[in-house]
Amino acid sequence: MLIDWLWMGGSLLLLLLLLIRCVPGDRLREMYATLFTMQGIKWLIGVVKAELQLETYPVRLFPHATRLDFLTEFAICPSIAVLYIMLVPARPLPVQLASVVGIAGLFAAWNLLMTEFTSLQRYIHWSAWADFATILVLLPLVRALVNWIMAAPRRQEGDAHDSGSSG
Amino acid sequence: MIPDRLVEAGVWVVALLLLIVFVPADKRREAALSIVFMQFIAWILGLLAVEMNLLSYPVRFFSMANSASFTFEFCALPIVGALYNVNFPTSSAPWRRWAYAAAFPTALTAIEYPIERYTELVEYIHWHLSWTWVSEFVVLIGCRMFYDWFYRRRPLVL
Repeated sequence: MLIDWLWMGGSLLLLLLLLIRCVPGDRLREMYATLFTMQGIKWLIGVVKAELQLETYPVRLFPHATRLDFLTEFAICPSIAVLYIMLVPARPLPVQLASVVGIAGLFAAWNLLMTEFTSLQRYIHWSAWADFATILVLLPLVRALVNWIMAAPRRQEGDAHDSGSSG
Repeated sequence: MIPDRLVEAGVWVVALLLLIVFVPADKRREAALSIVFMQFIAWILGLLAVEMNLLSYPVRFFSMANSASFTFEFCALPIVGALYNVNFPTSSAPWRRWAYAAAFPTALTAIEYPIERYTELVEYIHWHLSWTWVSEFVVLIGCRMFYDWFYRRRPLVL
């Protein structure tokens, strides 16, 4: 049990430190848009996975309320998406492609180690390859959705109360 | 008696129709932002409520995966949050804005009352209808405050 929470707590702490290091103050809106978008998508995928019993999570947060791996879906994957969007899209295309594959590979390895050495997760009809493929697809998808959301006009016609001052 | 699952399916249909009808094309992005923000809030608060045994949802979609209400937290409340934000009367008098802010939780509470009473979709354990109103009022105001901050507008409600 201790190793389980050390693993998850350590992973969350590492990601939190990386977010603090990598997210500049003027990109907070992009960070929140990314976090919430990835959470929504991972929630839906997580619910389907748990319903179909593709994976189980013997040790988890909110064990009475959900059979999902709440911390991975709610915090780990969204944080990974934020790091990807903050660090990768401005680079040349080959670097972007290599980065997506690298991040998906790291996530799959993290899942594999978690399955092997902790009680946080058990594969039933799932594998580290499926984790790899999921993140490989989701990172560009979330990036496209966040770009679309961020393209919203900042000022509305007839909105007399715009101040443009907070921020 | 309408089967509970049909009522739950109806919630999805009505919510999606409301989204299509009441979100103008030029505000789809803003609606999407409101939806993902409300999903974030509703997910964690919904889990806390069930974990603390305040409510239960005996009949629900994804019953194997969730003891909370996926329909309410993933679909209904986020879509209501989107409608609330994109139609908010920003240029109206303060009393109109407060009335608007109060009308949404009032309507949601009015809908929840017969659902709680006549279906198995939600059961109050240590919960009360008034808490539904207060929690929804606060969550919707919070959603509006995030929206105002995101689009760099002066907060209007508070």
